[in-house]
Amino acid sequence: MKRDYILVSILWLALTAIGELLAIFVDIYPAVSSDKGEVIEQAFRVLVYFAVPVLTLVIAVLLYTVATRRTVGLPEEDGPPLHGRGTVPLAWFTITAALTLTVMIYPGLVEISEIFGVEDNPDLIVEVEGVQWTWFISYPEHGVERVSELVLPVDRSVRFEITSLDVLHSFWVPGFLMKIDAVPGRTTEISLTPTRIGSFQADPNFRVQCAEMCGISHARMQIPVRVVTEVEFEEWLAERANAATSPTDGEPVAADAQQFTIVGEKIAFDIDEIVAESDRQIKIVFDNRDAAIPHNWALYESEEAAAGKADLIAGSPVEAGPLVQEIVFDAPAPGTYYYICDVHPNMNGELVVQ
Amino acid sequence: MTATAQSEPQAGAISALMPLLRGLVWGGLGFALGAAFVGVLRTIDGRDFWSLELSMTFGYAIGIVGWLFGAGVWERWGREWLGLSTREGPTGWHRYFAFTTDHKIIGIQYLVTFMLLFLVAGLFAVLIRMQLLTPEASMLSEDSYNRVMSLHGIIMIAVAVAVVIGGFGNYFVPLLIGAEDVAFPRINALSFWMVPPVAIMLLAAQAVGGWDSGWTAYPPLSTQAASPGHIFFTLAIITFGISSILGGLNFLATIIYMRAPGMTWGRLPIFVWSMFATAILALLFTQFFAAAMLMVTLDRIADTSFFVAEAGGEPILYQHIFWFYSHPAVYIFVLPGLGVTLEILAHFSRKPLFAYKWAVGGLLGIVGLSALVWAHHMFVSGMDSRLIAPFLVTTEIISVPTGLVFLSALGTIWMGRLWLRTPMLFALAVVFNFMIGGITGIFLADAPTDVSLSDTYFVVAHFHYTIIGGEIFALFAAVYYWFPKITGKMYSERLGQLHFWLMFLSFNATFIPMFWAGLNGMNRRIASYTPDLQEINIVISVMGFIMAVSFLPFVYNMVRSVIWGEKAEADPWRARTLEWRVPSPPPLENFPAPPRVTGNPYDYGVPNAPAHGVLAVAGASEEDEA
Repeated sequence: MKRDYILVSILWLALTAIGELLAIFVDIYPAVSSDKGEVIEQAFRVLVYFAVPVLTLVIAVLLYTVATRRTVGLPEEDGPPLHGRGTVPLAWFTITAALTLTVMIYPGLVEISEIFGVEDNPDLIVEVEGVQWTWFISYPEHGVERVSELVLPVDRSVRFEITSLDVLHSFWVPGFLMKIDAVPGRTTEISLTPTRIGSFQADPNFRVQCAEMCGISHARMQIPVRVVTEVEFEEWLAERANAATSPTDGEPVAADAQQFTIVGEKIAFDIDEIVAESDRQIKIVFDNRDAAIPHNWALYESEEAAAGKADLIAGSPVEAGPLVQEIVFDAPAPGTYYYICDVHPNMNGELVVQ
Repeated sequence: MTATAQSEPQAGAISALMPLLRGLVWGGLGFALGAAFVGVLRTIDGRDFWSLELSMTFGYAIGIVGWLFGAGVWERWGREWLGLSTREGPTGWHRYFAFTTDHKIIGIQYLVTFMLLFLVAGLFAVLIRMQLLTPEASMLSEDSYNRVMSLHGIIMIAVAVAVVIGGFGNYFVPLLIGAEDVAFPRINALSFWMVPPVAIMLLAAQAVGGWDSGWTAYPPLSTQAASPGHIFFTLAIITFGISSILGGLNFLATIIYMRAPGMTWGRLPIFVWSMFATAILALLFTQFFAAAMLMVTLDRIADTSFFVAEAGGEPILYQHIFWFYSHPAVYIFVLPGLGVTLEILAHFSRKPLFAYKWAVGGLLGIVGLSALVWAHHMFVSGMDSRLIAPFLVTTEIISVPTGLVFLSALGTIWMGRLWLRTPMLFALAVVFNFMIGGITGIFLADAPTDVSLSDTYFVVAHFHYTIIGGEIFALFAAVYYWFPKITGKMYSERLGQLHFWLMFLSFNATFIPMFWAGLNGMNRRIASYTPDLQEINIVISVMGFIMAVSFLPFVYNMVRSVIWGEKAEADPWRARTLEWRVPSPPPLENFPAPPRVTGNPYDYGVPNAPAHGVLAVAGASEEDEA
């Protein structure tokens, strides 16, 4: 019997050693791109260190007992009458209680204020509004309202002030490891500092993903995230603030402008190809007939550019229907371009300029 | 003569279904009455007679009463209230389709109904996994997927609540404590007959658009979404809740008052203790589930604003009310599973249940603490952040009583003589699976890590490990363990082992990768996902399909063994508890006279231990034996 205790202990130690080595060296999250995310990843790793010996204890006892004590057919005799009335349960209780208390304090309680605490004086305030099925991002300090991508400067603290315009949503950026629900009727807040430059094109975890079931297109309630240098951020802000609604806002419509009408209905465009001449203005009349559903019409250099929300040529703001938007711009050089609804990528088509 | 012989089976089938047919007819009449009542009031008020959700609610409320009375409450119970004599129920196999008060028949009614529902919801899971083979929503539309996902969720929740306690609790608690039946046999039947309307409503909801808010039905989505399917859902839940509360009442009364002489609390089989603990939860907490659903219903049909932010309501309030039940609910799922597991581990290790009193303390400790942990489901809900620390503390503390159950399991098998029959294999698997489920719960209890893990596939993997790993595996352990007692036949051990290995290996291979998917940015309840997640999803889906296939040998084994199985003796496992002292299957009254309990149920290997219980001879009284 004593031999059994020794052997199972050896098995337990061996399994624990393997487990802890894996815990030290294996990556848990893919790239972690925020300061709080790094705290969270470390907390996760510490919990794994504590969890491994518990897991391996159970596995060791199971494996050892099954390997050495199984019978063929009905057992001829009973096992030893170990009742477990004395020190063993008391020791188990004490050890598990101590373990629980430890884990509760670290990495539990001590990190709550760090993760859930909100920065009083952040470098940047970003307002977020969740609405079925997109996100409106606003930078109130910089006069940029309701854009459809989240652009942030690296290494600058941000406070997000989040609400919902309809049902519960949840503001989650997987790459930042941070998340909080968007609740109608109240403003929820989180803050963090992005620590890595990146974009959705290179890393799909650079996205704002809704993480609370919110209806039909919950899965696609995403907008891309870009973390850029401070200089690039200032440039982007300036461009956005000046652009107001469209890159050519206020430009007079020329007499020979080519006009095309596109209808957005039942989450689809009615035409998927526009052929236009170069050297003339193009005026797109976009008729959004889907009540309460946000659409826009945005023209990009290519399908890949559209996916990464880069190289925007012209576009309208994302707004809920029913409403009519006009987008006026000079026809680009001859070639094939790609237009899309930024909220619903299945709504798309090609603009062929000849 | 030939004509008579041919007509008998047909008559048999029709007359077997008479209670169901009468229930449907009376239910329909009740529905019409309820809908007409509210329709007349509306017409007087100058509005339309029919408004789907409102008429549905009142119609259903009366219709349910009609169904219950038609299905048998009137014939065998209600008549008494008016001084009329009750009518005899059917005999033979017809009893399984009727309002029968025999706890063994009700147990089988629950078992068959919920195992069928389990397989149906499993098919929905197969659909889900087929959809998730590709990143785009190519197979099902987004709406269909959300509805299939919601249906999969709620049917499995209902199965998890009812299958072990309704099936095996009903069948075996009276046998294990030496009783003739449960304390309230007619309430027992009533609890079961409330279940068919629940299933009908959930499926009928699909005809009017289903509901997409999962089984959690958070408002404002559930109060604002256009589909009337949401009402069908809330009404079904309220019905199911009433059934569950009555069941809890019944088990508590039975276990407290109907134990045979000598069956002290210290000699109670651990499975009965787990039923006692589960019954407390069902009796005391289910009301909150019903309340939350009622409030959603009222927000939809009566312009109340419990959860309407613009009118001063609070969506987060719903989550508090909902989870106040739904967290204890997960212990309703798991405690029966742990009870079955400990029971089987003891008998199949031929050893006493290790640290019996501590195990009981663990079960009761879980019950007490489960009332204090609910808001760990709400760490990222936007609730006041001062609530986070207390709920982290209570949630972590609950791992201590849970650990005591593991102490008992490991101590019981240690140095035992392990008879690795199918029930034992499943019981051992529970220990392994639930350990993984429990440990991963710590990562969710820890609020900082929970911020990144909440609403991702990490959570999905966690709860499938605890519920399937802790309850469903135990369910199958119980099925194989008690199959010979219920049917009088023995199942095929070969097929049982095939089922076990296929299921155990594919289950782990399906759900371990899900933790990884959650860590890599895949959230829950999505019909499509980012393309980088496709590989892991293919692995999960393929393993999931194998797991689905693993139920085929099980179903075949059950059918084949019931029909052609070898006759089983009364005590094939040489176990000490009372159910093995009676024939297989047990007679109507279970015991010829109340048995006398003279020893502990698990005193294997104890020298000169008295038997756990002896059957008195029929007709003998206690005075005679003194």
